[in-house]
Amino acid sequence: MSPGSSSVRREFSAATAFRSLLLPTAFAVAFVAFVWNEAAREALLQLLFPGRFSYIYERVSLAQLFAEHVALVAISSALAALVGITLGVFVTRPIGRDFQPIVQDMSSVAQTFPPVAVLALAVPAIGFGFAPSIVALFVYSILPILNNTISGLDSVDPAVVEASRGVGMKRYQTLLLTELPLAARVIAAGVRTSVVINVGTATVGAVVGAGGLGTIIVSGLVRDNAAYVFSGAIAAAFLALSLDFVIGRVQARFYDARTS
Amino acid sequence: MIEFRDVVKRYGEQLAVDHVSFSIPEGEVCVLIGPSGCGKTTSLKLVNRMLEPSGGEILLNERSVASISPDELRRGIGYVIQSVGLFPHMNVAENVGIVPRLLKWERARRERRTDELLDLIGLEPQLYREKYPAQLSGGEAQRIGVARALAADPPVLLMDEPFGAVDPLNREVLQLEFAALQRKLQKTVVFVTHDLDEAIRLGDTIVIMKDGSIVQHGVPEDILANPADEFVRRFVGTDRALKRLACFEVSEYMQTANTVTRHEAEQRGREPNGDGRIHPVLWVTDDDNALVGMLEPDPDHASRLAYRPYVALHPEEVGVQPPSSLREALSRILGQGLRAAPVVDERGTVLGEVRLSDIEELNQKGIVR
Repeated sequence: MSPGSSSVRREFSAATAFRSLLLPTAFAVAFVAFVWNEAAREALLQLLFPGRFSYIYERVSLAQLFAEHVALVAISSALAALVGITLGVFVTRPIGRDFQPIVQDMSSVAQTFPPVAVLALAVPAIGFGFAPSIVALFVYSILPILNNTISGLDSVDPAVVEASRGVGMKRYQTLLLTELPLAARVIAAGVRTSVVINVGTATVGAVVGAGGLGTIIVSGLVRDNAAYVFSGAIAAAFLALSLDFVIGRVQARFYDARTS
Repeated sequence: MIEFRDVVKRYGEQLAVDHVSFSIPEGEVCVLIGPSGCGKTTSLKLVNRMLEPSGGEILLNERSVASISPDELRRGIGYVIQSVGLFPHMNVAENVGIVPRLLKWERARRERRTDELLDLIGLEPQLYREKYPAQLSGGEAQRIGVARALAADPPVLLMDEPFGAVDPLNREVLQLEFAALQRKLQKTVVFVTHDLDEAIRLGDTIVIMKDGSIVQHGVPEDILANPADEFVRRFVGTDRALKRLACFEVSEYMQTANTVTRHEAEQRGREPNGDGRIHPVLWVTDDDNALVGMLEPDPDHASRLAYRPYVALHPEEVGVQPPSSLREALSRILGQGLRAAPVVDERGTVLGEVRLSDIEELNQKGIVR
C-alpha cells in the first residue's frame, strides 16, 4: 500500500472516531453534569429562564426520575421485544402462517389507541402506578417489532433456508443459525424504532403516578414552570438519543443484506 | 451404493418421477440429464429426503432412506446446489465447517478439517478462511460449495447443477478439477445437469430422463454410439461422433512416437533418407527431450524419401497430455493440419503420439446409425 492511501485512511478513521466516539462522549458528559449536578443545572436554567422562583424540582431528584424512566422503558421494551419477536417467528412458521393476518391486524389496532386511552383502560383493571404504564407501553411497542420481525424473516432467501435443511439442520437450527441471523438487522431496526418512541410515550405514565421524567414535565405544566418542563424534556431526549445510538451500534454488527 | 426401486413422485395429477429404477455402484458418478421438468432434480432431492417419494423406495447401502431421520441422513450426504448454496452471513470457514459443527466436532478438529479442505480445492486457507461469500468470485464460491459438501467426508455426494451459474470458461476448469478430485476421493455421486458435454466429461454412467421416466441409461460412449430412440438422438445432437471422442482418453490410444534430436533434424531436412524408410511424422526434441518441432515427408522430392525442412512447434499449442480426450487431440490435429498429435507431459517431453487414422477407425467402429 502506498503511503498516500494510508494517510487518507488515517484521516478517515480520525473523522469517524470523532463522529462515533468523541461527540457522543462530550454529549454524555454534559448531560451527566446537567442531571447529577444540581448547581450546574440551576446555573444553566437561570440563564435560559431568568426570573423564576424555582429551578430545581424539590420532591424527587432528576437523577431518580431518570432512573425510573429507564426502568419503565427497559421493562416494557424488553417485554415487547420478547413477545413481538416470538409472535413474529410463530406467524412465519408453517403452523402459524394462518394466524399472520389476524396477529398483524391486532397489533395495528393496538397501535391506533392513544397511550393515554390505554392507561385509562388499564388503571381500573390494575390500579395506579408503575404496572398500568408498563402494560400501556408494552401494547404500544409491539407493532414495529412484530412487523419488522415478520418482514425480516420473510426476506430471507428461500434458497438459503433450503441449503440449511440440505446440510442437515433441524428446523430450530435453521431458525437460530440461518433465519434469525439474516433477519437480525431488520428486527433490530424495529426494536430501535420502538424503544425511541417508547421513551417519549413513557412520559404520560406520570399521569397515573408511574414516576419517570413525565413527573417533572407534568408538574412544570401544572405550575407553569418552563424550567421543570425543560429539565424533563432534555433528559428524555438524551435518553432517546443514547438508546438510539447504542441500539444502532448493535444493529451495525448484524449481517447486512444490502452489502452482499 | 444408491438404488432407486420403482420410485414415483406425484404432484397432484402430475407425475414428476414415473416408476424409476436404477442403481449407482459405489465410487461412481451418475449424471442425470434431460430437459427442464424431466424429473432429474426431483429424483436427486428424493435421495436426501428434501422431497418424499409417493411410491417405491430409495436404498443407500441396502438401507431404505425412509428409515433414517432426514437430518441425520443429510449430515451423511454431501449436497451441492446451484449458485446461492452458501450462507451469506457466515465466512468461508464457518460455511465449510457447518456440517462438522452440526455433528458436534470440537473446534480444533473442525478448523483442521476446514484448512485441509481449502487446500484440497486449491484455495489458500490463510487468504480465504475469513472471507464472506459476497467477496468470492462465482468459481471460488462454487469450490467452497464443494468443500462444504465434503466436510464430514460423506460417502455420497448430491450435486444439483453445481457449475450451472459459472461462466463457460470457469465451468470447464471446475469440471476438470472436480474430475481430478473424484479420481482421488472415489465418492458415489449423483450429478444433475442439462449440459451434455458436462455429463460426458464427468459421468461414469448417464441417465437420460424425459417426462419423469428414464429413456436411456448407460456409459457415455454407448449412449452416443447407440441412442435408444429419436428423442435421445436429438438430445445428444448431430455432432455426437465428435462428442463421443470426449469419452476416450489419449493415454489409451497413444502410439510410439519417432523422435530425433534437433541437430539430426537439420541434417535430414536437406538430404534424402539414407535407410530407405520414412515416417509420416518425426518429432524433433531438444537436449532435454522436450518437443521443439517436427519433420514431415516431402512428397515433391524426387526420391520420395526426404523430409521437408524442419518446422518449429510449441508443445502447448500442438501437444496433448495423457489424460486429455481424443476430442481434444482431434482438434489439435485438425487445427495444425497434422497427421498426428504429440502426447507430451507438463514439461513438453514427448511420450508418444495419437494418430488421425486411429481416431477415424474408432469412429467408424463406434457409430452404428
